[in-house]
Amino acid sequence: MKKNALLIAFISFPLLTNAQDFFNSYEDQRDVTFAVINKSMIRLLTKIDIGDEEAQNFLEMAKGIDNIKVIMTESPQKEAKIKADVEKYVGTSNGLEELMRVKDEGQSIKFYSREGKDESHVSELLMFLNGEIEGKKGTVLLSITGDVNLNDISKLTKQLNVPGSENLNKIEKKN
Amino acid sequence: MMGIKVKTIYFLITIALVSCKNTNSLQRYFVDKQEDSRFLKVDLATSMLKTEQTNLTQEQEDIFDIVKKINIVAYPLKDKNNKVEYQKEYTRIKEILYQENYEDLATLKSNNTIVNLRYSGKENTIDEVIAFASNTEKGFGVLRLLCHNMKPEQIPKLINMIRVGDLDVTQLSVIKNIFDEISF
Repeated sequence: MKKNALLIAFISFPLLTNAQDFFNSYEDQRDVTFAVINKSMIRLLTKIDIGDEEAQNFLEMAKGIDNIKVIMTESPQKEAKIKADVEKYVGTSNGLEELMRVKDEGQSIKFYSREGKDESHVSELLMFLNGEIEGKKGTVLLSITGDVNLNDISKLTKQLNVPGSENLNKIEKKN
Repeated sequence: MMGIKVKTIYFLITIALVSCKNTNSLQRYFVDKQEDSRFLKVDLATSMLKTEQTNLTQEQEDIFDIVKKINIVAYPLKDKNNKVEYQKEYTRIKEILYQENYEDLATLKSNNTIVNLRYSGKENTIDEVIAFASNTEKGFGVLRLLCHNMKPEQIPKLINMIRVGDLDVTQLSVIKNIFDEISF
């Protein structure tokens, strides 16, 4: 019985890979645009006076973030792979739940989140967008990990310039 | 008993040597590559730039006080034949850059080009800023700014200066050429 349990644990271990691993697998792939901004970068940015007050506020708020990752692709094959990876990740990961779905203007967007320190905070926010982006069909996957305040999300949206992120506003209103 | 003591000493010396080696390995890498004809390189001391330029603003002069040196090492992938060698060199530089002393700031990949930004030192006193760019078809390049107590606020000014090409010195145009050569 114990042996079986161990075996199962070993087999399922790869499925429990965290967001870091699954995102990083796209680093070497063609047809994928990929960006990672780490905490250290955000911290440095908060010390630089960008001159834009909104951006400055955003950076103050972003201090709690561990990292921001974005993947974008126009390739249908890569889209399918990302979709599958997201489903696997959401399905097996502890505590990641669907937060919201939006279908609007040719785009289909899903938000997932993992509970944070309290009701208005999440420790992980995942956005999967699929559909028309600036006239082309594409897919965007955005992940924010750390100490994310849902109430501040609208500030994030303005600064991130990531397609679909304006929908984060709707999360804020819902809460 | 004696045997154990000696072993411990050897062990400690080895550790010390290894850690010394690690903290200087990027420096060593730059030095090594100066002799390597496969690489394009730039080794620029800003003190030189300062003396050659007579019309610097105070701001620019201040920046030069902080950035001591600009090093660039680039390995252009000119033909398919050196792909094996290229892979070896690419792996090597990646190993050096990914060691713990460097803080990973950000990575951006677009089309076939990846750029990774790192720094060493503390948040308020940055010692080195490193940009590592690679393109599977064109090659890779490492840019290092060796600084003296650089404050984060000064980085945008510095980048602007390099980008705008304010500085009309032959060596800086070499930098531009290298990046054009790689043409990311």
